[in-house]
Amino acid sequence: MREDDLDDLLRAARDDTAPVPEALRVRLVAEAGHEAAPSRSLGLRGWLGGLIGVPSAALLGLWLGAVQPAFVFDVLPETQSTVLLDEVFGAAWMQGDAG
Amino acid sequence: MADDDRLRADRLREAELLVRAGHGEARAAGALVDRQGPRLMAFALRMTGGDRALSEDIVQESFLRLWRKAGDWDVDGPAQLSTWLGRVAANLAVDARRRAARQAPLDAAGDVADAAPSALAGLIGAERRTALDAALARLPERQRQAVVLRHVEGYSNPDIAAMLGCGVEAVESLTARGKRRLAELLGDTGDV
Repeated sequence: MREDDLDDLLRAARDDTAPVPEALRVRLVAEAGHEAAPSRSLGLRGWLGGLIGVPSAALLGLWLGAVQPAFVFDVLPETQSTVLLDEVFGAAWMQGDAG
Repeated sequence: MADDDRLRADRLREAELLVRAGHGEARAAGALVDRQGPRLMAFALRMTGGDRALSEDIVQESFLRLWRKAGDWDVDGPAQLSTWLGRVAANLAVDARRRAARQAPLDAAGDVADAAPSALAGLIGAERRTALDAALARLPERQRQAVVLRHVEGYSNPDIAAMLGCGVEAVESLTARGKRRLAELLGDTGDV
C-alpha cells in the first residue's frame, strides 16, 4: 500500500463514529444531573444578603451581649450570675503561672 | 468566512448546551452526548484496540469531567469542546493502558502485537475502513496509540510525547514503525 493512500485512509478515519450504547447514554445524562454544579456567582440577591445580613448579625450580637445579659445567662449553661476570671481559671493557677 | 461563522455558531450552541447540562437539564446533556458521544466512542475504540468495556469507561469519565467543567467553560477559549473531550479521552486511554502494563509487566515487556483479531471492525460504522481498524488493533499498544493520535487525530509530536510520557524522537519512531507495519497488514489483507 502506498504511503499517501495510507495517510488519506487514516485522515478520513477521523470522522468515524461508533454508536453510544443506550445504557451508557442513560448513565452519562444521569451523571450530568448529579454533577450539576451550584452557581459560583453570588448574584445581586447574594450580595444584598451579605451586605445587610453581616452587619445585622453583628449588631444583634452586640445588643444581646450588652443590653440583654440575662438572656445570655439563661441560654448558656452554668452562667447564672456574673463569672469572674478567677472562678473560671482558679486563683491558684493564676498565682502559680505568674510566679 | 461562512465556515468560520458556522464554527462559531456551533461553539456557541454547544457551550449553551453545556451550561444547561451543568444546571442539570437532562435534555441538554442528552443532546451533547448525541453530538459528541459517537465520535468520542469511535476514538476510544481505536485507541484501545476495540476494548469495548474500557472504551465505555473512557467515554463515561470524559463526559463526567466535562459536566464538572460546565460552570467554568470558556466559549471563547482556545479549545473546542470536541478537542477538549478528545484530549481528555486520549489521556485516559494512555493512562489506562499504562496502568494495565504495570499490573502485567510480562505482557508489556516486549512490544508484542495484540494476538486476537479485534471486535472493533464490527463496531465502527464505516464499512470501508474495517480493514484499517482491524489492522490498527493488531499493532502493538504504543504504536497504535501514536499512529492514531498523530495520523488520525492530528496531534503534534510534542503533544503526543507529553501524553505518552516519552520523548519526541520516540514518538517519531513509534509512528514510523506503526505506519510501516500498518501498510504491511493492509497489504496482506488485500482489502485496500
